[in-house]
Amino acid sequence: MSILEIADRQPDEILTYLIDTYWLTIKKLAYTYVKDWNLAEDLTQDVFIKCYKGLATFRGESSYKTWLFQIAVNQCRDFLRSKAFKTLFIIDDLKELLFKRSPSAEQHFFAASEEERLAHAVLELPTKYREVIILFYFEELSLKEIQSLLNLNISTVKTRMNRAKQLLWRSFERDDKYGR
Amino acid sequence: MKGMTSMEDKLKHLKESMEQTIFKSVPFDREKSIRAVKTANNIEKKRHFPFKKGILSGLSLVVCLGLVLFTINWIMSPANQPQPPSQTPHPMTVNGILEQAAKAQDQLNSFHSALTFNITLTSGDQSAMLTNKGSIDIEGSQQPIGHVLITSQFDGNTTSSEMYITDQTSYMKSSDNPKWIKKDTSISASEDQLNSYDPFNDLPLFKKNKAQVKLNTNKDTYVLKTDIKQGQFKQIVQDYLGGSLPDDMTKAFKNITFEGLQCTYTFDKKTFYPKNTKLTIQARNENGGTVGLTILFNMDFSKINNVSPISIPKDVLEQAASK
Repeated sequence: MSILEIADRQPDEILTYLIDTYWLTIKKLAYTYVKDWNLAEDLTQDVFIKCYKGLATFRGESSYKTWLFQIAVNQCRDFLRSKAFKTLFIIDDLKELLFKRSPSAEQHFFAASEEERLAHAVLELPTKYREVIILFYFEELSLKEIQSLLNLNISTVKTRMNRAKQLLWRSFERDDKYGR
Repeated sequence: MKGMTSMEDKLKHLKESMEQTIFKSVPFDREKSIRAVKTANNIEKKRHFPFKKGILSGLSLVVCLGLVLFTINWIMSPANQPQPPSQTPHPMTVNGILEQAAKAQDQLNSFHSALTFNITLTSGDQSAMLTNKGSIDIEGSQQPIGHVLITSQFDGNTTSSEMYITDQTSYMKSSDNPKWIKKDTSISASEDQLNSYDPFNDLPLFKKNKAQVKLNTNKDTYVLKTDIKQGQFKQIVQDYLGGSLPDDMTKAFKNITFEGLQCTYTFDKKTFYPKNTKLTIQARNENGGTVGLTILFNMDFSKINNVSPISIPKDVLEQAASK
């Protein structure tokens, strides 16, 4: 359904259409940021609440998908910053210390399929590298769309993409060398 | 270069890889989702950001705060009182004190709190300590507003943070991000995160575990104290935290043995306002080695209903960039 076809409908109808079409897409995108399904569900709900509120002022200058992606990316980035700020790094520090000697992640890695290894390796990337990889290879957005979505220069997007690939390559190389 | 080419090839299959693994069965309840959005939207229109939530949002010590809150509320839960509630409780009983404190809470307009929060981790002869010291001023004569200052030290690094919190907006800066930023708090995932720590969610769980709350009467104060041993506390903490933390943290907590918890709550004898709350937890993690964990959380309350009006400085209002 095009923007024009649904533009004249009631907000509730549009909301239903958007939920049917994009809820799972947004939830998966949110998961790639927060890596927790409960949080991803909550964030998705927040995205659609904002969307519902903004339907009256949505001018159709972009597609609904692009608009939802913009809200979702902002919401997720906002959440990560907010969470990091609010916990003052305690949880991450604690997690690192508690998990430092945990073999479970490595064991899982070596037992995993190639697909799982790749998926998990991408999710382990720092957020700024992970998001460009996800948006380009998973969401299949163009570099220009990513640039606009993340509010970055195109050169920054490319640099992050290259850096992300290097990190992934090193991750695979290291684990192949020591584990497989 | 060859490796990079290979990685490019792998990434071309990222969509399939993720769909076949992590995203293989993502639940989607259409009706529930639609209902949730519409309901939340309606609530949002009516929602008044509660005073206490304003306080909570200002506190960055999420995990420990959750523990403090649930412990306090657990103690306050009638099911956990050592004596059955009576219709006219005597103020010298635990129930009576708590009822008076609840009444006093309704009259609470402002307070100052000095906060200490420490986590010590030990492994063999190594130890690391995360320390947080801070002050919190809350004032609600007109609109609830809080001013929070926290300094954290860990591994030789010091981070300081400052926040102003209102029922609509929070302003924050830290030594890592020294420019003031402004954030709308009316819809906040982190608020929802904090809400998930609501101790009343877990009341049925707590009712199963009868805490021994002791009452000490001093010259000017009543002190409620509970000392929970390993067997009593382990399951409560795991279940409680398990419902409100990310999956990987939940797994981490499953590997933690909680050895004990001591909590004291001190009330002024005349006003029944809180004067101090203190919580200590001892735990250890034995997943691939032993890491000891000691948590200390202390809050001293003062200037009850006597905090000068707080206003957000003009330069903060002008400089803060929206998030």
